[in-house]
Parts: sequence; C-alpha cells; structure tokens
Amino acid sequence: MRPLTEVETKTFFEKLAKYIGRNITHLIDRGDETYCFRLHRDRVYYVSESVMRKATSIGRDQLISLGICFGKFTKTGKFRMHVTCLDYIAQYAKHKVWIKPNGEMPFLYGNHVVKAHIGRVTEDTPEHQGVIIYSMTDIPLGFGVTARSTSDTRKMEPTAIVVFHQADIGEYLRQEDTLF
Amino acid sequence: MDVSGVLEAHKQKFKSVSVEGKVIPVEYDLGLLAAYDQNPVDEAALKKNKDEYLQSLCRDNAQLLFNEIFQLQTISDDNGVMAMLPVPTTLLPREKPLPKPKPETRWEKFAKAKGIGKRKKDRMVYGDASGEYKPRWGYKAINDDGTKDWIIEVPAGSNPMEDQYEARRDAKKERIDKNEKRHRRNLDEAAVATKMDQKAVDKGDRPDMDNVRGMKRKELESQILISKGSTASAGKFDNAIKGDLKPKGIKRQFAPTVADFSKEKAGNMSILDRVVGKNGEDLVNVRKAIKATKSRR
Amino acid sequence: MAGRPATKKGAAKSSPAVSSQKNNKRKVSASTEPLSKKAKVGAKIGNGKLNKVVPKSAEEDSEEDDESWAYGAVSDSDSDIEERDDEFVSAEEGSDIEVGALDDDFLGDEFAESDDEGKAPGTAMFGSDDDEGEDEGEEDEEDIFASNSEDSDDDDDMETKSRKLDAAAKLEAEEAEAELQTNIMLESDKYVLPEDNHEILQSTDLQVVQARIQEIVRVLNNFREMREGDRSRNDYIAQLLKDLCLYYGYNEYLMEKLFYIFPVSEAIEFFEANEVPRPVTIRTNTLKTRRRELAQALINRGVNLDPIGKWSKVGLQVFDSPVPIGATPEYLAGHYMLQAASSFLPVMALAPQEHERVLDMASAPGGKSTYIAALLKNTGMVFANDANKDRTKSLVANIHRLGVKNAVVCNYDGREFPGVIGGFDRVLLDAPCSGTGVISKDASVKTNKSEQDFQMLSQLQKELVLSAIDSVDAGSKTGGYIVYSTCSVTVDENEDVVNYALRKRPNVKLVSTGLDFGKEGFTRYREKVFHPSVSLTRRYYPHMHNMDGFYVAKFKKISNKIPKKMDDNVDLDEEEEFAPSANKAGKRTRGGKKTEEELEKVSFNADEDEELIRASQAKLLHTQKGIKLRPKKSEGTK
Repeated sequence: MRPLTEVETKTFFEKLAKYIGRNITHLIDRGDETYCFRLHRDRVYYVSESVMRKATSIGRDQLISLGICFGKFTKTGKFRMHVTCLDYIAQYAKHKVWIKPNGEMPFLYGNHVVKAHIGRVTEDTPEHQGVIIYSMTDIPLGFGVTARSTSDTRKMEPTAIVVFHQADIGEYLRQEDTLF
Repeated sequence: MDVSGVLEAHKQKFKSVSVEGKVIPVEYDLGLLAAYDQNPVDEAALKKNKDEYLQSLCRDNAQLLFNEIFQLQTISDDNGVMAMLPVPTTLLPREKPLPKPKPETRWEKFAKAKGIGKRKKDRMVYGDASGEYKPRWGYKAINDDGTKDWIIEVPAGSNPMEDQYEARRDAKKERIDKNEKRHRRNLDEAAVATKMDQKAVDKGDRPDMDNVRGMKRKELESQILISKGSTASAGKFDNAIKGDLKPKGIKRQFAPTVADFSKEKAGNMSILDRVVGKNGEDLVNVRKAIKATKSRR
Repeated sequence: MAGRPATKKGAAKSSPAVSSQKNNKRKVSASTEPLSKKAKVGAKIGNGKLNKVVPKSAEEDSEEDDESWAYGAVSDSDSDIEERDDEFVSAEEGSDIEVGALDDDFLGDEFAESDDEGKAPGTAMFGSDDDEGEDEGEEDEEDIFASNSEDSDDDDDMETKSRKLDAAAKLEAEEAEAELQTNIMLESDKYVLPEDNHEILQSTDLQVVQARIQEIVRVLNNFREMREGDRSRNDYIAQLLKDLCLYYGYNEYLMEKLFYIFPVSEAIEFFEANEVPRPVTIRTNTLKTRRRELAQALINRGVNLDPIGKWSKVGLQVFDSPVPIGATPEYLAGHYMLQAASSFLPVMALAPQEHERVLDMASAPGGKSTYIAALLKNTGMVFANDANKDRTKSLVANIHRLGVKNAVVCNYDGREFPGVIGGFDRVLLDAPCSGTGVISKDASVKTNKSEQDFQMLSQLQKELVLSAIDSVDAGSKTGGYIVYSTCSVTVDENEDVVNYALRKRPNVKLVSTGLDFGKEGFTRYREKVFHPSVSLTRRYYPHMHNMDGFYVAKFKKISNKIPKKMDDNVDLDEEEEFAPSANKAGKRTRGGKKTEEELEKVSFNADEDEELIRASQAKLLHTQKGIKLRPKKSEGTK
C-alpha cells in the first residue's frame, strides 16, 4: 500500500474526470473526514485516513482490500475503472442515462445500450462522454461512454448503440474472479 | 715550550666539548644525522628565559651529535675528511600504500601446489663435445652445430610427401600461440582479480572466469547507461527505445504511506487542476450557451 | 473458514434430490385422507416436492411461546394474503397451528404427549412426519411390492424377476412378522426387539427400518413400562442408532454424536428436519435501502416474500420467485444479501455500535461482515479476515457490492490475530466447524466427518476463541464483547469450547446474547459439566426454529490482564488435571519404610553434585569454540 505517484495520479484523474469532471475535488477534499487514494497491488483504493492508518498493520501479502476499489492500473500503465466505484461516481456524475426495464438485463449481461432501451438522457451530453447508467427506478447499474451526442441520437435507428458498455454491476457475478 | 697555558686560555674562550647533566643518555641515529634527547625539559628554566634555555639545550645536543660523528670511522680524500655514516635505524612511514600483490598466474599457482621452485639456468653451458662454454640459446648456441637441420627423418606412419620443416615451423608457431593465449588469459584473470575481494585473492583463489564475461558485460552496460544519460537533458527527453537497457537496482522512491495529508491533498489538487483546468472546464457550458443565445434571437 | 459447509448452490442442488427420493418411497404408504388447509400449506413451504401430509387429529396448543411464534410466522406466511396481516399476532395464538401428533393405533398416548413438547409446530411446517404409522402393511401390501419393483427397474429382467420373487417372499415374512407384532402390540402394547442375526435386521427395506425406528422410539419414551423382558436400554439404543444410520445415511460416529444431544423423539425430528431445505432468506442492506422499499421492488418482480419474523427488522423470507433471487438488479446493486436466517444471530448478538472497530475473524463470504458494517452505518471500521485466500474474493465482492466503505479485508490465520492487530471493540468469531447444523444444505457432512475431524476442529476453535478474546480491548467504552458462534450443534464444538475459554481466560465472562429465543446451552452433557453461566448461550435447531442448527455465545471482557491461575499450565481436561497428581501423591505416601529408603537414596551429596555440575559445564564448554579449559578443571571433571 502506497500513495500514488504523480504520473499515476494524473492517469487516474484523467480517467475519473471523464465521468465526474471537476467533482473529483469533492473526493479529495471532503468535509467529514480525510480520505485518500492508496495503491495496493495495482489497484487504487479510496479509503478514509483512519481506516488506512489501521490497515498499515496488515502485511502486504495479507492485505486483500481496504475501503473502496476504484479500479486498477493495467500492465501498460493505463487505468481501468471498476464497477466497484459506482457508488461514488454515481454520486458526482455529470451525465446520466436511464434505461427502461426491458433494457436492464441486456445491459447487466455486459451489452451496449441501444437506443430503444433508453428512457431518459441528461440534456446536452456530448459524444464520447462518460455516463452513469441508471435503471428507471434510479438504481445505478453501471457506466459507459456515449457513442453519439444527445442531439445526434435523435436521428438514429432504435437498434443503434447509444452508449458503449464500460462496466456494470453484473460483473459482481460474472467477473468475481478477475475483478478482485 | 709549554703551550698548555695558551691552550688552556684558548679552551677557556670556548665551551667544553663534553656535555654533562644528561640523566637519560641521548640516542643517536647517525645514518640520518639525528639525535633524540628524551630528557625532560626543565620547566623553571624554560619559564625564566625561554630562548636562552632552548638555545643552550640545542647546542648541548648538537655537541653530543658531533661528538658521536667524530667517533665514526673516517676516510680522507681530495675533498677532505669524511665520516662513514652507518645505515639509518629509524623507520620512516611510507608515503603511498604498498602495491597489491599481483595475482598468481595459473602456472604459479600450480607450481606452488606442487612445490616446484624456480631454477636459475645459466646463460652459458659447457659443451662436452667442443670442450668449451657456449651460450644456451641464440647465436652459436650449444645445439647449433650448423648441421642440425639439413635433413629430417620422416617419422614412421606420417605422410612422406609432407614438408617436415613446415610441420616443425607450424608446431612452433602453435606453441607460441598457445603460450600467448595463456598469457592473455592470465592478464584477463588478473584484471578480474583486481576487482575481486582482496582477501580471496590473497588466499590464492582464482577468479571465476565464467564471471569474467558477466563482469565485462556489467561494465559495458554501466558505460552505455552513462553515455545514454550524457545528453543535454541528462537523458530525460530522450525517447525510450524498445529493448533498450534500463538502469538496474535503482529503487523507485515512493511517498510514505502515512504522512502529511494536507500536503498530499494539495498535491492531488494541483494535479487535478492540470487535468481538468484550473477554473473548471464547466463554468460555462459553451454549447448550451450558444444554443441559448441562438434561441433567444 | 475451512470447515464451513459448502456453498449454497451445491447444497441446494443436493438436498432436494435426497429428500425427494425418500419422499417417493414414503408416498407409497401414505394414507390419502383429506388434508387440512394449513397442513398443506406447511408442506408446501417446507418442501415443494412433499405433496401430502397426514393430518393429525390432535390439535394442541403449543406450550412454548418462543418456539411457536417462530413457527407461526413461518407457517402462516405462505398462506393466503389475508392471513398475512396477523402473522406476528399468531405468535401467541398457538392454537392456529396444526400440531402434528400421531394418531396411529399402536402409538400410545405417552408418545403423543412427549411429541407435543418438542416438535409440535415443526411438523406442520415440514410435513415430514407424514407416514409414520404405516407398518401395519395390510392395505399397502401391493404398494410396497410396487415400490420394490420400481426400485429394481434398472436391473436386468431376470434379476428383476428373481428379486420380485424374493421380495414377495420377504414381504410375506414381514407381513407375518408385522401381524405378529400388531397382535402383540394389541395385547401387551410392547415392541419385541429382534435378536441379532434375525432376518429382519438384515433387511434394508427403508419402510421396515422406519417402522422399527418408531417402535424403538416409542419404547424408549416410556421405557419402564414398554420394555420387553429385561432388555437393557442400550440394546434398544444400539439398534436404533444402526437403523437411523441406515435410514438417514449418516456414518455411525456422527450419528452417535448427534443422537445424544437430543431426547430420543426430538433427535428423530432433527434428522428429519435435516432432510428438508431451509427457506431462502435475504437480508436487507440498510446501507442502501430499507426493507419496505426492497420488499416492494422484489414484489414488483413477482417475488413472493414476507418478513422473516419479528426478531429481525432486516430479514425477508422468500417463498418463490420467478427470477433467480441471486441475480436481480436489486441484488447486484447491493440492496440485499442472500443469507441464512441463522447467520443473522451472531451479528445481532454482537450488536456493534457506531464508531467501533470490529473484527470478523472468519468472515467469508461476508454476510456477517456486511451486516456488521450496516449496523455501524459505515462508521468506525470492520476488519474482515478469512484464512482462505480464494474465499476472500467473494468476500471482497460482497463488501463492494453492498457499499461497505470502511472495511479492511485481510487473509490471516485467525490464530495470528492479536499479533497482527488487536485492541478491537468487538470481535465476531464464527468459527470453522463441522457444519452439523447445516446438513440440509450440505449432506456430505453426514458421511465425511470422522472423529479426527471433530478433534481437529475443536482444537482449532479453542485456539481461535482465545485469540479472539485476546484481540479485544476490555477498556473500550462501548464494547469489549466477543461473540462465538458455529453452525454446528455438537457440544464439543460449542459449550466445550466456551467452557474452555472461560477456564483459560478468567478475564472474560459470559453475558446474555440479547437474543430472546433459542434454547439455552447445556450446562452438563453426558459426563461433562460446564460452568453454570454457559446457560446464557443459545442453541438453535432446524426442527425447532426453522433455521440452520446454530450456536451463539457472547463474552464480555472484563480486564486486559489474564489473571494467573493456579492451574495455569495444566492441560485441557479437568479430569486429567487432577487424576495424575493424586496418583503420584498416593504413591509417595504408600508404605512408610519404602519412602524412607527412597529418601536415603535420593539424599543429596554436595561433593558429588559439584563434580557432576562441573563435568556438565566442562562438556558444555568443550562444545563451544575458543574456550580452553585449564588442566586443573579438566582434572576435576575426572
């Protein structure tokens, strides 16, 4: 467990900013308690200072996880967000997409979101923007990247992909082995 | 004529050559023209009149030294009378460290193990046939009777058409080459040995020659790395080449896990400012603004 | 949690198969009297495949409230919707519940009575006592025959035929026997225990075996009057154990272990209950949602559910669901956790308070850890430890899914614990165990546990409970509690371990678990006597509480110092502690003369001793390098 280096922080924030933009500030500078990002075995954990201090007593080999995992650095040095951070990024997301009940399961099985399944979209979402995907009952289901801007979407066919799948909560079941 | 009075008077003019009052006899190293007076200094006299006391002390000791010198055996020639100085007994410290002992060559090691000593061979050997001393090798050497090589018997079983002279020359060349090779090997090993642990070398351990290549490689790599970093930017802006050498054994330094959190926070904020833009990229949603102004028109 | 019973999947698959097979056999002999509505419902809940229950004539009020309300809730809950309203009210109204007493002609009143106390509501729930009295055999002769032939359908024709003949012959014999028995029964109401080698003993026909089981149970329940001649109780029990092993498929060691925990008739209920799967229960994750909202969301998906009981505010019981309950969007979003009802109990007993630091020593797959975190409301911190690295994956997955933000997951052997980090406010130790409480989930326990396994497990549990106790800070303002729990019902994994902890750590005491139901822990069991406060611990049984067999004990640590006891370094067993020393004392005092002689022999000789000491010192010095002995000393050694 160690703090992120400057390069790592930059890569990480760049990815995170795609979804929550400047709201990262609220993660770094919280009113209630000091929180920090810590890297442990390539994974970035977001954890309160007090928990982190206690976790330093755990050996490196024995420490499995602490706080909330935001994602991991790949071997090539890119950052890959995991669905586990959904709670936080859903809280601060700028652009959201709601999908209809009939689109929930296809998305939870790892498919892209097609236009027909879209219930609502945040106005003025540009293309290639990170978005959080909600069910119509406001349960966050995952996140993705828009294929087209909101205005372009109107002209598209119902079967056209609107949001590319990035992560969904179905991964808790599908990828339990690789995710953690 | 009695000159004793004159001499006495003359004597009175100078101090006596015999020096009294030395409790501990003065030591001499005449080879270095040195005398060591180990008697304690008379503090009272020193305090009373420093210069006078020191001068008298010096004179007395110099007198003693000269007395000793005059005791030595002398020779006289054109330049005058000279005293024969003995070998100096005082050891002086060496300015430079002793040279390291050269690592043994393979032969030296072998000979040592087998108890083979060096045997001095005389340059001249007695020739039984000629009845006189002849050099062992070289011009008019003992074996060179001028008739030696005019004919060579073809050894049994060898090709009769083979040039035996050439074969001999080749054999000699081979011997020389082989020796040269060994010589070089000894030099290599010696070079490695100088980098080895000195104790091991002193014990007579041969360097591990499998290691020699590794050591050379390491040396080369370090030189390459140095040269790579020898650019105007100390290598910072040079593009990495795939498969290129990377400095080994240099540990990355990370910030401590638990440290000043305000500093960490500030660092993160500054990175965030760089990533997102200081004022926040979304103070004004440009597209929305354009749309709004358009619709107003 | 190495010894913990296997995953829900495996267990769920295996156990219905077993029970359905048995049910088919029993079906044959079941009577077809009309069923009361409630009984039907109960059967449906207990096991979808059980489709008939013998209605029991006697309707008796269940006497113990704490049991009855649990059952009341359970059995009612599946019935019509209008009944749902009074599910908790019915707790007091024991009369609503059908009591499964037996009304067969050869069953005496005594049996019926004894039944009422122990298992009363359970039968309505499980409908498992359906076919008890069916060994009169006369009406069902053909059916039995049919069932036998069905059984052997797989074999060749010839074999089948010959078997049929054999079976027929056997049946005749059995029938005769049965008739004989019936006659005897009618006359003297006594069951004749067959001799060894008797052909009926060799029979592996489950019906015969079952009938015999019931007979013996009846005899044992009123042994003085029902015994045959001067047959000892042990004869009956030995035969009963053998039959139970055969009928339920346990190995003999485990059967004996489990049998003596219960009164005889209750034991049968226990084994019967192990054949029926427990209801699916889920726990609302209060970090993300509320039970009412979750229930609404699931009902919208067509799930049929109800609150688990009034003892839990977060539990829901799922009766049936058109969608897989472990893969709904709500599940994936972490709104609930699939969790057995029994595993709520230790956390409820632990009762963590906000801002506390809590350790879960054996936490995979995280049901309890996440419950703790939910009770902490994401304040303080939870250390979730598990010794098995593979299982920590599901643990981490569940922690993240349920939105627990203050958890640290680590992979230590629990015994290392105060060494790694200590000073916790509360510690939960859900110890690895034999899983005898969850046989309905994992039937492999029946056969794969040997005496060695039990010894190793209880040894491990004892070590774990000590390190759990040591990990707690007694000075904690709000805490200082340790909860020990297992999903096993055996005494040497439960009371024995707790008693050991009390003995080894006099700085802890047992306190009430805060759970208002469950049976008290044993204070004495067979030859063992435990500390009287062990009665503060709680036991849960599948046949009694309709949840997995479970055990919960709660300690309070009084001081951080372990007071030194006189018998600090003596061994585990108290009997062993004292016996040998007493023997030694006896030997010493026996025969005054001898002792005097011995004294003389033993008397000290200073000079000799000195020489000996010097010799050994010299030897020691010889072995050490660089020490030279002066000759004088070495002379001395000689």
